[in-house]
Amino acid sequence: MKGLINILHSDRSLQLGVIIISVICLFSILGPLLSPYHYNTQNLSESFQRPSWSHPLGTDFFGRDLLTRLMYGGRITLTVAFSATLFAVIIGTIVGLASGFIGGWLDRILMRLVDILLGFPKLFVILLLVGMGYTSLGLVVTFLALFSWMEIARIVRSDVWVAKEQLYVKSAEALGLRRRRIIFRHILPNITGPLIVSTVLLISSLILIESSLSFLGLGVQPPNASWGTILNEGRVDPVGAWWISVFSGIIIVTCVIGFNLIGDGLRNILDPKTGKKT
Amino acid sequence: MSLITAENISVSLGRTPILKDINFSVETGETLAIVGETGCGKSLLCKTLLNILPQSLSVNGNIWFNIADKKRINILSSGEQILKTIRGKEIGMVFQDAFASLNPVIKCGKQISDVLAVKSKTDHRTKKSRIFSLLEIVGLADVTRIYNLYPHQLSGGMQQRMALAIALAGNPRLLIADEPSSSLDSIAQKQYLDLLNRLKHAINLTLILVTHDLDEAFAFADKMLVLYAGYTAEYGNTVDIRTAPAHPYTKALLDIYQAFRENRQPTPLPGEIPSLGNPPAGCRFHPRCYRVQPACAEQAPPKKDLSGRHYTWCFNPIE
Repeated sequence: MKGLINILHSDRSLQLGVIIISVICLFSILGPLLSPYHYNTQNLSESFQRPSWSHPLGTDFFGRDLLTRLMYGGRITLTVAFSATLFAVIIGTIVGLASGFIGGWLDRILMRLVDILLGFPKLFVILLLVGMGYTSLGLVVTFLALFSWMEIARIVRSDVWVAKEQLYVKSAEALGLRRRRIIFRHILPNITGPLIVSTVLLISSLILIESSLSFLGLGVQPPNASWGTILNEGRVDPVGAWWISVFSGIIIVTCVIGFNLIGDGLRNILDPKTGKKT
Repeated sequence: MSLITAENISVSLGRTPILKDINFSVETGETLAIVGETGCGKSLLCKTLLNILPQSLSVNGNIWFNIADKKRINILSSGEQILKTIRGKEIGMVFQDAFASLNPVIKCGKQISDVLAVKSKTDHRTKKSRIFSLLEIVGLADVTRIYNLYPHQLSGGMQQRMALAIALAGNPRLLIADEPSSSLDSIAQKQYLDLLNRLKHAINLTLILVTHDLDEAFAFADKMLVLYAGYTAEYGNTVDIRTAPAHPYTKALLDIYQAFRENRQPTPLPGEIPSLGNPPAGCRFHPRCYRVQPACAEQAPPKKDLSGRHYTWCFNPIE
């Protein structure tokens, strides 16, 4: 725990990023419990209210409190981004380890697969699939994961390639350790640095993709709300009811910046080549 | 029966031979010193003995290792399953660069327990006391503190001892030490070699010691294998080689060694080590040899038996 605090103190951008993301997470998790409004109960008499004391961020066309909806939307956006990232990292790590450690024809096949998948524009393929009607939340997560593990796999592979030529891996071999043990105990822990950084950056890119999908009406479907859906609802009257687009836009941007700050901060700490000392 | 016997080991990268026809055998309890200049293939030979060479290198020959019950296996042609029972358990290895051979993100105690875990399933307590005793055996003080340190928190000498503790964790009968002391200062070097020597007698360890320090070889080894550019120059009993070197290369090494002992300026050997990619024909030493004969440039010299325990590969050995 003390080590964790020391790490936080060693880098400004990491500090700022962690604060931003913690606030957003608390806001999304606890917020809906504290709010007097329900995210989806309509009250047409309060349609398009400006920000006021009773509705700090105003209301939308159906008279729903925008603050409550953003809190609730945060839950969905973050859940989608986190779980898709988790799956992508699992797939990417496994592929990267197999490819890097075993090498040979397996490596060639897997890396060509990665090249092919990277050739697809991620957003458009997912748009197409979702547009064909596969719109459930689980499927969106799956699509996101299936089209974003490749960068992770490449990073893991190249690091495994480096790590397996290190003398400590050779000496683990000379000690007669099992292959599985060498991979998971001697190689994997030594490549977690770059892996963590790219994981964090992947979260922020998936938040953007999920928001784009929802904004286009193809991601999270009403009555559920994600930040992208709310941003879309602002399109009805972007000048008159400016608060809807502005506040949902601000929270998306803030969240992405938060994760990028964490990613940059971790890179500064974990990558010895940037020259910063911890 | 000897513990380990190498028969005609050749290692090559594509068509470039790196090691050629290496033969030696080590009896239980003996020490073999492998000496030679940088780049002559000493470390490569060590890795060959455990069959942990990169796949890009092709290996020929046999390495017979005597496992229990007078049974012997060929390390070079055994499958991974058998090798797993040999590596670490029958043959331990200490690498030249101890720090690089330790995993930077695992604490010292854990690194030893990793090897023990593979070796036998024992409960946590006995495992821990075994680790402590190993650390004490290799001469590390304050073992409880070291148990929880990372390798980079140790000094160079401690890292080298740590590497030795790991190599000994599986109770090997043969220890291969690849220039274990070259990265240490001279006092730590002396201490480390004394330690090796003590251990050798205490636990009846057979030792293959790679070194480019003739002092070390003379002090510890029963046998010597002198390599030059991947070829054996001379192989035999240490005393014989020291008193009557037969190969001109060994002679040159000894002259330089002697000069240092007598505080004289040594006369360097003319020429330089041949490149592996483009070695001279015939005996690889002939361009630098003062006893060179026409035959030397034409074909590789045959093995010459000098006394039944002393061999050289030379057309014109020193009698």
